[in-house]
Amino acid sequence: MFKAPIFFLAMIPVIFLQEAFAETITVTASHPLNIASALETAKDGDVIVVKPGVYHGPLVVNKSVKLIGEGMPVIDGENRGTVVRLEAPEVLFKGFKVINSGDILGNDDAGLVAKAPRCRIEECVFENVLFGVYLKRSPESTLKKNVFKGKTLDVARRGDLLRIWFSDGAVLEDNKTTGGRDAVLWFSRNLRVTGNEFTGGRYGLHFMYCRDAMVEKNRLIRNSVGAYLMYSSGLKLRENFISENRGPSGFGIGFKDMDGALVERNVIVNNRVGLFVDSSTQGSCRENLVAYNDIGLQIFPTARSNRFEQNNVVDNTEQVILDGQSAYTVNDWTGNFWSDYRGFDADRDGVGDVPHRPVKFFERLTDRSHALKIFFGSPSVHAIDFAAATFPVFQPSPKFSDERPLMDSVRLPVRAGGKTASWLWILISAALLSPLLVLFRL
Amino acid sequence: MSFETVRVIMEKEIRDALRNRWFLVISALFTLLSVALSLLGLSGLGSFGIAGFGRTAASLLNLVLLIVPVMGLLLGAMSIVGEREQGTLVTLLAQPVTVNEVFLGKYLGATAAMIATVFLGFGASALVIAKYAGFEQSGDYLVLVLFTILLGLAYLSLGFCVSIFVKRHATAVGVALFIWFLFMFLSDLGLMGTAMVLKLSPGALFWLVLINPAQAFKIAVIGSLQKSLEAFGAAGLYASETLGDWLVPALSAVMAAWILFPLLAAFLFFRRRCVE
Repeated sequence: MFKAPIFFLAMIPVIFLQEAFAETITVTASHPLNIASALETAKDGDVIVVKPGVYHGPLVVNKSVKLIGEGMPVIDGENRGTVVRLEAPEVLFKGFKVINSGDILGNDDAGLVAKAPRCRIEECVFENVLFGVYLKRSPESTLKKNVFKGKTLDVARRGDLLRIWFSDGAVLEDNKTTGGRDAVLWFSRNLRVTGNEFTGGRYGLHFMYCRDAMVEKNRLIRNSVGAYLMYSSGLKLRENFISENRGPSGFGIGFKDMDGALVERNVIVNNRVGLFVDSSTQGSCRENLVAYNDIGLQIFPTARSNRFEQNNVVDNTEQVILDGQSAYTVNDWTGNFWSDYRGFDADRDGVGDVPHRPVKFFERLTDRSHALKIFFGSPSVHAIDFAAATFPVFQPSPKFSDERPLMDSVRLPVRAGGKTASWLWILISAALLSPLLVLFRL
Repeated sequence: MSFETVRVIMEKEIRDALRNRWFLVISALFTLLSVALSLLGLSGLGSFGIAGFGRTAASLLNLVLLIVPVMGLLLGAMSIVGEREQGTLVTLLAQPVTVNEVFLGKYLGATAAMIATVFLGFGASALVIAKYAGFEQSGDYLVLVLFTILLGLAYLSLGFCVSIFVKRHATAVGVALFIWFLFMFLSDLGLMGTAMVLKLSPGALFWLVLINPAQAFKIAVIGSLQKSLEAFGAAGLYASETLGDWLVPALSAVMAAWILFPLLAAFLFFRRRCVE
């Protein structure tokens, strides 16, 4: 009974002693003592405060110290190799600007490579680096509030601004990347990826063999693919904002061999394909908004026993593509809101009385002859679809059916949209309307 | 050529357009529908908390595709044939004015009336959009306005052709409506059938589709708004691969050709037998 408190009481002096022994070493740019020699004199647990200035890389941190930059000191790799290496556990690396790594993909030239457990990289800026931060067998490390900007190279020659490799329990929080290749998360369990913003890369998230990850509240915008999630189970994907991912074969979210995933309350808008699912089972996809994509949902017949419910599927150019006839029978589509539902609700229970069985004649035509898509958006296409819906002679068989379609969209937590600058629109309006005054004088 | 004369004839043409019931009804329809579509599209977006104007642009595009051609066609078709039938054209030409001045004045007047309608519709919609949409898309909006004017002008030129080749007012309206129907529905459906039967390559289909100025307009607008022709499938990819950055200029050139050549034909024919 008394053992635990006594143990803690005994710990207090130990903690104080550690604090007392931990020294603070200050490094300034003008001072001959540069960071490397400060590290030589330092012991584990020491704090090295680095004043503003430009320091030359590469820097190898091989003691468990706290490196804290004041006023964003710069570490310049001079375009050769990797700039910073963390090779001792529990290093804190905070408040630095790391620039100019090498650009050789084969060497994984990076802004920072961590090879030891429980490192923390916080509030740093990485610029003109090939790879950003590479956690290489660095479990339980944390990346928090870092900003990454890749080299201006062709996508194929860029590196991954974030690469997590064999690092179980790593935490990525509030980081921002622009213009890299991917954020690679491979072979790591129990990842937590929250509040990050990945823009302008190839794959926002490139995710493989990561069990039980939680990916929450991230923004994946203007990548070729928002998130490609593969070969993992137990993923929780929640409340992410996924938009404008429009690569030639791009998806908002792509699933491949993901079992038991929970996809909840994501906003997936204006992508080439909103949600793409290939050979994944037992997933649950609920309360998402899938809107204004060229293709809302594309499901391969290999995706089985998944449940889609309470989603808003709104105004996608093609709402659903199911490749292969059996696809809709092996997944459960009951109870979603479809903006193209044309039924009614006589008993006012919020559920349509007629099943939702979308029929699009023109889509059938383009399935047969892909080139006909050039007519997309023409009045003639609307005429064809109208005719097919009105005169059942033309009516093709429906692609799938939702037996209990919702009449109203599912309420989602409202998010801040783009900036409103109404004055500009009022200006446009005035510019367009003012010439009309001349007409009244006539 | 006296610009004063051209100006006077142009003003008279604008006044005629404002008295033309067809034109007024279509203009009112265009304005009302564009405001309604912006309101519907954007307030729907608002309920999901995402401001954006891409979807509204798409519905405005549909509206423009349907209404602006018929507006241009009718405006053009009624401009000369009516006056000729009533005999006022003879009176006008008996004045100290040249045929060139009359034609130019009438064309500029009709152009001004058409642009005014487009401005009215888009100007009113911009007020609606001001309430919801973001800052970034204002450039896209102006692109849409610009291409809409090009589209209207293309059909206006066709309308002028009708007006000069046809003898009676009623026939001119009929022919104009038929041409509209032809370009909106029949040519597309015909091409779709042809493409399926002959198994046309995406490239061939793309060039054939361009024959229709409305399609050139549609592809140009989507091309400059979305920066990708992915939505148009294989033929769209063919177009972006072969034309690349030249896509929008090329499509603008197609539309310019549609504006100039029918107008030129109308002009030459008008000079030859203006009052017959």
